[in-house]
Amino acid sequence: MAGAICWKATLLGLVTLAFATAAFVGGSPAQAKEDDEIVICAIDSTSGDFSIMSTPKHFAYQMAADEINEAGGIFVDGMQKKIKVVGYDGQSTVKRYQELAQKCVYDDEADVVFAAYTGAEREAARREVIRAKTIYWHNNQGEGGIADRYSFFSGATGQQQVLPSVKWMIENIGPKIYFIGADYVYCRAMGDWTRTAANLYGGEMVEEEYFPFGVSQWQATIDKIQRTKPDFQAHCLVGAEHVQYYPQAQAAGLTIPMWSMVTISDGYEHLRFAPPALNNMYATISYSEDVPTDANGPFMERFRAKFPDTTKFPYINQGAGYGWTVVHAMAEAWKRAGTTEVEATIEALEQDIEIADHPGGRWVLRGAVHHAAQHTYLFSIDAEHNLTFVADLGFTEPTFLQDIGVDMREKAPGRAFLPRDNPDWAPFFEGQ
Amino acid sequence: METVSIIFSFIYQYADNIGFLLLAAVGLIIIFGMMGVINMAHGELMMIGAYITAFAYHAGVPAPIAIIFAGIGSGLAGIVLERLVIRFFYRQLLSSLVVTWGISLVLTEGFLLIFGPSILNVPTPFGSFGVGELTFGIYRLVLFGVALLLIGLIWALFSYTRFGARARATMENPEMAEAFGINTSRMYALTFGLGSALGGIAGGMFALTATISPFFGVNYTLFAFITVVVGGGANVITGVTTSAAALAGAQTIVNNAWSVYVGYVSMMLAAFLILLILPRGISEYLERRKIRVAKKNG
Repeated sequence: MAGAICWKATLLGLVTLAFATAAFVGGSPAQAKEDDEIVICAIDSTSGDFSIMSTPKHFAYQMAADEINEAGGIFVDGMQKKIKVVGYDGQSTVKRYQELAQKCVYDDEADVVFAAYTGAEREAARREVIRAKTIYWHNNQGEGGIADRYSFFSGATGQQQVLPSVKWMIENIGPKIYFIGADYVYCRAMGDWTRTAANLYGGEMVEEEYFPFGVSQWQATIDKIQRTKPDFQAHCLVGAEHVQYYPQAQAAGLTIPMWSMVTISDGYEHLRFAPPALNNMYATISYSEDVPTDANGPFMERFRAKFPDTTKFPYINQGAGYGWTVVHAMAEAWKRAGTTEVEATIEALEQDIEIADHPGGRWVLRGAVHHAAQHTYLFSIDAEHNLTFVADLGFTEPTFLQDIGVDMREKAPGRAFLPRDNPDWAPFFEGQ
Repeated sequence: METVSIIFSFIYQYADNIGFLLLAAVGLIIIFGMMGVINMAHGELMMIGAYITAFAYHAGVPAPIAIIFAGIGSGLAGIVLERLVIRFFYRQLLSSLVVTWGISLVLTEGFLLIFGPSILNVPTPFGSFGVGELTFGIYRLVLFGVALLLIGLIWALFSYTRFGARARATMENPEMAEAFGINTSRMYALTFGLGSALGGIAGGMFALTATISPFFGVNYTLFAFITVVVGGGANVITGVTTSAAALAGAQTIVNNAWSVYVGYVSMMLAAFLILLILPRGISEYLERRKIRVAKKNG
C-alpha cells in the first residue's frame, strides 16, 4: 500500500519541522519610538499551551495604559508623554521569548519589558533585558529569590503564598504532605518552600515528585499517592497536559484533599473541567475575580467594560490583577523620577511604591528586595466547583532576601537564592 | 493483597498507555499508513472532534452520541480538506508535510479566535473500582477497549468489504484501479474522510478526560506519528498494534522502575532503536518472517 514511503526520512522530516517551528519568528516590524512616547514592551503567550494563563494579563497592561493616557499621560523629561504598549505573542515557546526580548530592547527601544509566564520563559527573556540594562518585570507568582538590579516582581513569592497556606493546611487538614510538580525552576522552588513550611510548622514531606511538561497519563502517580496515604497533596501542575491529573484522579476515586498555588488562580481549572474533577481542592490566590476586596468590584467592572468577550476572557485571573497594577507602579516611578532614564527610575522604584487600589487589596513594592508585599487568600472548591473563601492569610511581606542579608539599594548580588540558602533552613534540605 | 493490587496496577497502566497510543494513531493508520499522506493536521481533526463532543454534550446530547457526532463532523471536515487541498499533494511527501502543517496552524489559530483559549470539557463517566487498597478509573479501560474495537473495525473493513478492496486497489495502483472502473478520486476523498472521522472519534473520547483548547491536538500528533512509523507500512494494522504494545511496554516498565520522565525518554529511545534495527518498521520484519516460515513449511 504505502511501500513507497521511506519511514526514516519521514521521521527526519517531522523532527526538522519541529525545529523549524521553534525557529520561526514573526511579529510586526518595529516602528521608531516617538519623542512623546513611553514604550512598554509586553511579551506574553496569547497562543499555545500557556495562553489560558497569560492572555488576561496581556490585555490588562493595555487597560491600565489607556487609563493613564486618558488622564493626560505622564510628565517626564520636560514634556507630557503617553504610554504605548507594544505587545508580542511568545507562543508558549521559550526560544521566542529570547528573540522577542531582544526585539523589545533594540528595535522598539522599550523603557520597560514585561515578559513571560513560566520561569523558563522568564529566564530566557530576563537575561536579554537585563544585559541591555533595561528594567524587567515578571508579573506572576514566583520563587522570590531573584536578586538583580534590573529585575522586578509584582507577583507573590513562595514565602508569601506557600508558607502561610501550608501552615493552614497542616493545622486544619493534617501534617503529611505529598508534593507533585512540573519539572522546572518555579515548581522545584515551590517544592523547597513546601518542605520549608513542613519543617517550620510541624508537617512532614512524605514524597516529592517532578514531571516534565506534556505528561498527561497519571495512573502511576495516582497509585503511588493512594499507597502513601498523605493527609493532603500539594500541587504545582502547569500546562494543559498536567492538569488532566484532575479528571483522572477524580475518576480513579482518589479523594485525598489537594492544595495548589497555581491551579485556579492562573488557569481557572474549575471552569474548564466539568465538575466534580476539582472537588476537595484548596487554592491559594493573591488575586482573581473571586477575591473579596473593595477595589475588586470596580476593577472587574472596568475590565468587563473594556473586554466584554467572555469566550476570550472566561475568568479574570491573578495575572490580570498584576498586569494592571504593574503599569500603574511604573507610571508612579517615572512620575517620581521625573524621567524615564533607567537608573533614576530604579531609584524611584526602590523607594517603595504603594498601589492602593490593586484589585487584590493593598500592594506595596519593597525597594530593598524588588518584590511586592500583598495579601494571600485561601479558597476551597466543592463538588459543584463553587469557590468558597476560606481565609485571608494576611498581608504578607517578601522578606526572604532581606533575611539572608540582601539589600538591593546597597548592592544587588545578581543571582537567585533558594530557601536552602537561608542558613536557618539549610538543615531541612540535608540529604536532598 | 498488596502484591495483587500492584500487579493489577501495572497491567492497568500498560493497557492505559497502549490505549493512548492506539487512539492517537487510529485515524493516521489510514491517512498516513495506507494513503501515505503526512497529515500534520491530524491532531487538529481530533481537536475538532473534541470541540463537537463538548458542544453537543453541553447542549444535552448524551456523551456516546456526542462522540458519534464528532466522528461525523471530523469526517466531513476531512473530506472538505481532501477535496480543497490534500488531493493536489498525493505522492508528494514533503509538500503534503508543509501544506498540512499550515492547515494545522490555521485551524488552531482559527479556533483560538472563535472559541477563546479553552472551553469546558465533559465529565469523565463510569466512576472507579477497587483492587486491594488501590482504586482505578473505569473510563481509561473503556478508552483501551474502544481503541482495540476501532482497529478491529478498520481491519475488517479493509479486508472483507467491497469498499475496502476498492480502497486498497486505489492506494496500490490508482491507474489500474481507474481502468477497472473505480472512481479513484472519490475513493481518496472517502478514505481520507474515514481516517478523519476516526481521528474525530478519538478526539471525542479524549474530550472526556482532557483539557479542551485549540492546542488540544499538538500532544497527540507526535505520538500518533511515532506509533505508525515504528509500526511500518508492510502491514499497517499489525504494525501499529505491535508498535503500540512495544512502546507502551517500555514506557510502563520504566515509569514504575524510575520515573515518568525517564519513561518518556525510554519510549523515544525504543522508537529510535526499533527504527535503527528495522528501518522499515516492525510490520516489515513480521511479514518477512511470515514468508520465511511459510517457505520452510511448504
